[in-house]
Amino acid sequence: MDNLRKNTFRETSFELLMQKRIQYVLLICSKYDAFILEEDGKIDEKIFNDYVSFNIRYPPQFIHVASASEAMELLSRRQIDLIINMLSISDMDPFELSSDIKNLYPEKPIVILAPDSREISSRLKNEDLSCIDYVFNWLGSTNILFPVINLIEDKLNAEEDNKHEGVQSILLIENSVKSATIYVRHLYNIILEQSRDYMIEGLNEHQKMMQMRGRPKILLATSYSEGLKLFDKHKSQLLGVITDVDASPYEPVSQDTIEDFFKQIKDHDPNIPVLIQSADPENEKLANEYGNGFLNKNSRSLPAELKAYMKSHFSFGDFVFTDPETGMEIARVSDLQNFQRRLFEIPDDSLRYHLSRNHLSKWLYARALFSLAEFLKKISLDDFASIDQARRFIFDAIANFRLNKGHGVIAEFYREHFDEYLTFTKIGEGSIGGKARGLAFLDSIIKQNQYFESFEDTIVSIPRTVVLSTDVFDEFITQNNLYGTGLSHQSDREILDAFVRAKLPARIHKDLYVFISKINGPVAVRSSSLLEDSHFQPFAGIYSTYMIPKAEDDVTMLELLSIGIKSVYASVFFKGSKDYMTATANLIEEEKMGIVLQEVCGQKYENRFYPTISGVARSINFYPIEPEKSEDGFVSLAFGLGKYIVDGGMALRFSPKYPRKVLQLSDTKMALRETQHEFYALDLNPASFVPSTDDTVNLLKLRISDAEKDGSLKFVASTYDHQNDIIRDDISDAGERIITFSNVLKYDLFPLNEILNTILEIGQQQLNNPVEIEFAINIDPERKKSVLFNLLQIRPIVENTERIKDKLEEIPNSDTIILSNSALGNGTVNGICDLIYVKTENFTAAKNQEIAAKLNEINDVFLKEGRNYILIGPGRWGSSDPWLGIPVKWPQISAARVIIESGLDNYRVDPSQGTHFFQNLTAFRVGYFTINPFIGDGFTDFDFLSASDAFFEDQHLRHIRFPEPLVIKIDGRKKIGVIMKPKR
Amino acid sequence: MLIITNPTLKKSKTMSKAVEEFMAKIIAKNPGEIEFHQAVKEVTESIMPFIEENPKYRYPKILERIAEPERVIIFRVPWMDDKGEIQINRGYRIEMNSAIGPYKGGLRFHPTVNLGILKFLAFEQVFKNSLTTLPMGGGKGGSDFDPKGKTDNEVMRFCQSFMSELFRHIGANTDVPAGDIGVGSREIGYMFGQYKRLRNEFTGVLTGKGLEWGGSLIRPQATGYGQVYFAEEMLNTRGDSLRNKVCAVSGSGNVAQYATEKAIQMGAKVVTLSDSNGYIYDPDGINEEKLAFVMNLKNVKRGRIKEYADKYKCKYVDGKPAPWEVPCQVALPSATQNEVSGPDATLLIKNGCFVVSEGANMPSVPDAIEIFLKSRILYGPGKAANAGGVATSGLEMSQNSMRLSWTSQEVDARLHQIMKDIHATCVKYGIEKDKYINYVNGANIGGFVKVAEAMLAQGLV
Repeated sequence: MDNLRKNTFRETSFELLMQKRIQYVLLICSKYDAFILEEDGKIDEKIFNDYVSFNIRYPPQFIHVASASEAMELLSRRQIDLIINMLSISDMDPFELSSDIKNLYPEKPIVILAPDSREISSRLKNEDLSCIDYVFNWLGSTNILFPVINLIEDKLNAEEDNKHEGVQSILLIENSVKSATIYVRHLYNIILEQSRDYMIEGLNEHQKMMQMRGRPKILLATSYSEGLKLFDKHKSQLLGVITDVDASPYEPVSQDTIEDFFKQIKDHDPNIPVLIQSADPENEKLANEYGNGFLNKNSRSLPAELKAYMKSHFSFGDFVFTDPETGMEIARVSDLQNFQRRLFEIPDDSLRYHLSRNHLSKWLYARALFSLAEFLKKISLDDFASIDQARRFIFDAIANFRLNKGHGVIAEFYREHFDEYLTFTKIGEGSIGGKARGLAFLDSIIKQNQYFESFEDTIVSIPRTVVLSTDVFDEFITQNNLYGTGLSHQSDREILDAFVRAKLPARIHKDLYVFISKINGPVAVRSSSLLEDSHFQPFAGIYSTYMIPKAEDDVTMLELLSIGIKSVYASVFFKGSKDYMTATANLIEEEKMGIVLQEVCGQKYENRFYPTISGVARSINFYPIEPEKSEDGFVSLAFGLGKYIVDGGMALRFSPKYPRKVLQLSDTKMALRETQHEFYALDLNPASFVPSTDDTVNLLKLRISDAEKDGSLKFVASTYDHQNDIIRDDISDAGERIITFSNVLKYDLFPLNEILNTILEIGQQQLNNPVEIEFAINIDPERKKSVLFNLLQIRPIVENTERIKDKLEEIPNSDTIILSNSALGNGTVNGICDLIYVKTENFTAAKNQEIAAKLNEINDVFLKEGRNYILIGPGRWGSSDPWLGIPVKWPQISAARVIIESGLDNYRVDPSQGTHFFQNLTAFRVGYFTINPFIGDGFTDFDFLSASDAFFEDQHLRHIRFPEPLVIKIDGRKKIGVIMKPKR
Repeated sequence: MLIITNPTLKKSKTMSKAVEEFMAKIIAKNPGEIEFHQAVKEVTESIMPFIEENPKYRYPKILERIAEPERVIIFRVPWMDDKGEIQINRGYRIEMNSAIGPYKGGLRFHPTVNLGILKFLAFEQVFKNSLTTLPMGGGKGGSDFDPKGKTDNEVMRFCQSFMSELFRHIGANTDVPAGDIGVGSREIGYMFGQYKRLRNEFTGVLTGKGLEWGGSLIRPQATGYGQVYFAEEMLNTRGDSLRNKVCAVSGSGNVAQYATEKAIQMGAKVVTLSDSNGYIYDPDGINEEKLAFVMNLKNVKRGRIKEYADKYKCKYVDGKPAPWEVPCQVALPSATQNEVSGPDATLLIKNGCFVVSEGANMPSVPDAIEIFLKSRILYGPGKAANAGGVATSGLEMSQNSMRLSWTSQEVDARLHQIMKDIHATCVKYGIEKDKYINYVNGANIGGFVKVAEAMLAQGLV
């Protein structure tokens, strides 16, 4: 027995089923016959209504011709998928016409619809019907057309559908035209009713529609020989056999042949039900002998009996648990969810009875749940030590199946059916907004890539999510007349209060109650607006996100959730959003807000809740340090909630291609100084969440040491050994804890990098743009659960990924002040008129301290004036060793937007690549150039600078202010940066 | 860092000429090594008057010989990175002077390492080590390897390759490297492992080893303790002591914490500590319990010093990382370079400070030093006062030689004695006619004399 693991089930590609459809039907009949048909209602409309009533799409069109010549002419020039010949043309013998058509178009099915009369029957007996697919009686109404079309489609698609997806079939062997007509009509009614019932398993309209395509097919054999062939071909996918045993004038069949057939069926699978239908009541004995069912063809209640048999033996309708001794019904379930819920109530005997007869898998087949059916078909009671084990196994199988089904799908929120197996559901009819769409997209990526299921102890998924679509927002705003308030100049607080006082639409209250009852932990209430969907307008961080702790009672929880939702709605109208709208030339009135309600990834620690790791990964990195390349991307990790990263905290930064090379951990001093000291957690006291414009109102900012007692540090922290000045990658001894993530990055606690590399690659490919992904990871301190890796968001990176179209490397030196072949950053830097450089003539490193002090003064002036500058100097900026470079600290040069390290002939210092200021460079997107002109690497035109008028000058420094901003371009992909000379 | 130039030393025209002539030769012989030139020049300016007064050093060209390394070893260090790519770095060992003991000095792994820088560092090391009074010569080494951003395995492979060449040149009685920039316990461990494997012997060939395998106790405390011991010795020259003295300590890292601990033990009252955000002023003094709070705060919780003020309800001054405006008698700069400016020095003296003992490297700017010396206060420059760290290296060597591990009390006692000896040397060579002790001169000359005498005794080698 294979291990039952998550997502084992192959997705049924319903869209590949029923590929061959009847779109155009050629009806060859007299005008009179056509008139009679129309009297019953226009054919197209009638067929359309039939299709609609069964939720089937694409009804065929009917084209009527009244003569053979018209028929042939039509066939020659247009698509016809089915020919129905009503034997009422006059310009040619209809059978001859059928034969001619078949010769010319052998692939086109031909059906004869003929009245039930002795003359016609007699004629049929004498005609060669080999070119005819089926003959049915036409009793004056159009109600035969729908089943005929379905039958033909079944015939066309059965082989493919059975082979690839496991679609089931019912074999009907009936040599009487009249009986075949009756059975076909009834069978399709029953089947389509069944498929309408099992549509409930579909999670949204689309899935429901698609699932219809998996309905059982009917294979009609008009003779035993044909029936045997069909049985042989389709026996592995048969739901059951309905067969005539009466003598046929066309094909005499002996009793032995019939009994051999029954034996063949039983030998193949004793659980295939066989219904014998006969006009002779004596044949009931034959049926009983083989354990088959019996149906009297002449019975007045034939349709009801047929339906009842199919329900009980073909597993149509509800699954009925019966007592094997008494045959009494014990329980009945109508869908998979209920089956799962009731499973543990079923007595052992009953379960044993049903399992031993494969009833469950049959029922699932009949409901087009093929992969689960196939899976359970292979198990037998002998595979289990006890019936309870079998019960548990089935429960888990269903659970996994439902989970798998729920992935990659935006399910509709049905109150009665919402449970923990649905990953992504939507309330409302409007758009789900950008963030939700990104989440759904992530879910589909996970589903489509088997790779993410390949980890033993790691689950990759999105958090359970319910989305309130934008129509809920519209309704809320309109019902409560909030547009006026929102667009007014009231303060954010006033707007928030007005929104919080307002009422959410009543229709969603019950839905929210159901949602609350199914979740076990805190909920994040996040914005998902239409404008967040836009590729080129990064609305990240503009709107609020609130975290709601789980309250003890649902009423309180609903209240808190409502406040959270209304607060997010209000944030559309906060000043910050309005300003941003203006800055991005958007109209606030056009903005619609969806809401994402999401289980927060993490774990409870007394009164706090937080994940073990939060992170952001980007597929492009404009600050790569050798051997990294820009396309390797980078990752920032933090302990606790991701707010720490969003706020620009000292997250651990590394390239997922080189996880063991972490600059911040290069030495003990850097590790102590430049790693995380604090983290964020959610306060689980519900009273801490109050309406506030600050969406961090109930977040706690804690010291790393506060997490010691939670046991959560052991996977992420190392310890600084004070005595030995070394970092030990565990926390078994007391000492200063450093967040290094060594267990993950060095010792592969779980495959973080593999997962990140893969998701970044796929995301970038599918969005055709560099991407940023947010994620959260929870590792159970007891290691009793799998590692949970939640993907939270994906968005295209729009800022700072500008592609520099110019070939910077081809710009002549004469046009540049600076050219560097080792530049960090990306894009065009605008608005800089000032350039400060350290004078090179008579430069001596002995004066580096003085230079640092003077720069500090100059920088202060720039900060006060709100200006920025370019800074050029020899050696390594920020080096604590004044011999190696000018020993500034970041605040002393923080107004610089481009920093250049230049080697000199007599001052050869290898470039630092900005490593002293790395956090600041990346956080503030400062360009960083390195030039080594003495080895021909890069260029600085000091002569040009010397010849330019100085705004300020002393013995060490020179400050030039150009009248116009300089053109500064950095191509982060090629690592080339230029500062152009002003145009004269 | 460099020997501090004595700003008050009056240079005669003859003296300047002598220095210039000497330097011209140095520059000619070591072209392009600007850091080395600078270091030699500063020592020469300090020492030349002494040499001129003592011709026995002039004729044998002691200074010329000190300025010439006994041996320079440059070697190839090939290694393979994690990607399988071959990398090639250059290794160096400058064995500067072994007149008073085996070469001793750190290894620096940094991409800026070159011959000039290492020679300058090695040159300084000779005098630093000599000042400790322990039998340690001077040396320095390293490589242009950059450990930043390298994985543990890459660092290990490099260290093993580095030691695979270096091992034949070093030994417990020959040359004993230690750590420096880019060489911490991890690197020392890797190099020691390789040495042991190649030589098949377990000896004290490297210092900075882990406690479990030959390292010495008190290493983190040594600088802070030594700084306070030196202050005590300085006070003793005036018949005074640290007892009941109000001390202002800057910083709150290792040096500051242990300086405070030792000062408290010696009866002083420490009233300030600081970090980059500001300083606290506790007029009641920091006692053991409060110091334990600071240690926990800084070493475990990684908090800010302001929390001390919150907890103990004392004054916190935001935005001032140095507490020199607080009246005190003893200033113990223990934070960082350039934290004592000229105005700070003036204010300190105005407020009654008469002892400065430097725990950090070059915390006082030249102006401040000039003010201290002009004011004739007890000023102990870092090169003498913070020699505790270097001294402990020597104590590790001693323990290794004896195959013993001393207790922390034993190491502390020996450290104390060393600081006394350093002080005595400074006094011997720094006392001026008016009995003022110029510790700057004392340190410079004291360090020189021991080496010079040994060189004289050992003949022309």
